[in-house]
Amino acid sequence: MKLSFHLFKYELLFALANKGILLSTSFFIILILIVGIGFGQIGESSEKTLLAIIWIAISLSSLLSIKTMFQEDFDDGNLDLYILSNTSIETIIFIKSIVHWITTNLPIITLIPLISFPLGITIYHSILICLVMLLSTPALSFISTIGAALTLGEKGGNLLISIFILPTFLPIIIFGMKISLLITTSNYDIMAHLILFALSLICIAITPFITSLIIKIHYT
Amino acid sequence: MIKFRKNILEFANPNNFLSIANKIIPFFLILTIIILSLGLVWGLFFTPEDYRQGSSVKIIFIHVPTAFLAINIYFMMLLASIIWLIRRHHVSLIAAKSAALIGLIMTLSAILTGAIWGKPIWGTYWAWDPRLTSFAILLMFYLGYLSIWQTMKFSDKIGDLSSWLCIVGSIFALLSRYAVFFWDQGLHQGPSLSLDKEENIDNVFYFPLIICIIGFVLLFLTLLLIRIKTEIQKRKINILLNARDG
Repeated sequence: MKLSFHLFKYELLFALANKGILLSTSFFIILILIVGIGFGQIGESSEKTLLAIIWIAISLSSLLSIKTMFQEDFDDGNLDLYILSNTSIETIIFIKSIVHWITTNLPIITLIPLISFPLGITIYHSILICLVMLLSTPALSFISTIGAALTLGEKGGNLLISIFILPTFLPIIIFGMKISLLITTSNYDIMAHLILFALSLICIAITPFITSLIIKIHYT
Repeated sequence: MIKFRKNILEFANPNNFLSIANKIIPFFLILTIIILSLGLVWGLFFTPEDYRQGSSVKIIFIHVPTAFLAINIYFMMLLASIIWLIRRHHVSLIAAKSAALIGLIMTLSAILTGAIWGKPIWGTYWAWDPRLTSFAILLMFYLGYLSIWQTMKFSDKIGDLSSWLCIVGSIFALLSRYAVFFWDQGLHQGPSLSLDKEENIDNVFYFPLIICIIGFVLLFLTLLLIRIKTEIQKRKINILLNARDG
């Protein structure tokens, strides 16, 4: 337990020192602005398109820094030590995913009201959309660890990760998009959030075990 | 004649598999040609036209079998991957690898025939209907599985990785399918055939359709056997080349 806490602190500090937050939030803002400008040229920038842009941007930017999650530890031999240590590899994957969520998805979610209010979504709706994001993005962080484990040791792994992992985001994106759409059309019940929360919990429960099995393949 | 074997796992030996495959591939080939041409000729030329859809209804004889195979090939790949992970039979892994491309082509042809049928009947080639969307999702998972084999060099490690990718993919493909179906039934009609239903489609279409499905399954099995045979021989050649060089 103490080791896990220390690992959490170390990973968090390491991610903060790497300026990962700055990169992912800038990527998110640039993506939203570029697609928004593109839609503005057609003159069809409605609330619906903005919601779609937000979901696509958040799923792309949560894949940005995923490649380095195990790769650096794999290269310098830290991962060998983790596997040999008392702490189970599943715990380490869990901690790494939580840190990834805190450093990439959480800053983006806090930005959503700031960026969507000027673009035409009311402040109340954008806070509800933030709630949807808060409940569903842990699933994105946890699923993408599978992609990081699959492409461990591959040179051009970044593109492969997006090919493997973006389709697995679909259940969350489909439910999330539909519920955000219901929010803006006010035909909506707060209980609709529960299904997203359920999906997140399933992913949190299952993915560390799958990822650990995949990582162990690289050591046989 | 082929001697009947007690244990199916004896096929897991690549040499046994090759010797049996060499014997049965010609039979399968002839049977496929006979049944497929029987089903298609009956279906395409000797069935009446639908009173609303006209002759466009006849695309069902290609659309339904390919769609049926597209889903079931992924299921077969899942089973083969699980067998590889548990029992480490190389033929199983090679079967999963060889089935993927056939499955991709079946998915594409189901989508294409559906689009050709959809233009005169629905008035559009493509709609974001639950069934159509779930086929697009299936296409993505086939592409992901194929890309792991295309980009990495063949080894047992890649076999493990691809098997896990197949398992994870099937979980999420199933989840996405139910996510898509959660909100609406959509434009596409319900399943044309099912085992527990009293009334299927009319008998005039039913029998040729069944023959077409059997023909397409035989076609898949023949192609799969040929592809597995090629893959085993390719790996043998590679081993011989490595032995000579190294």
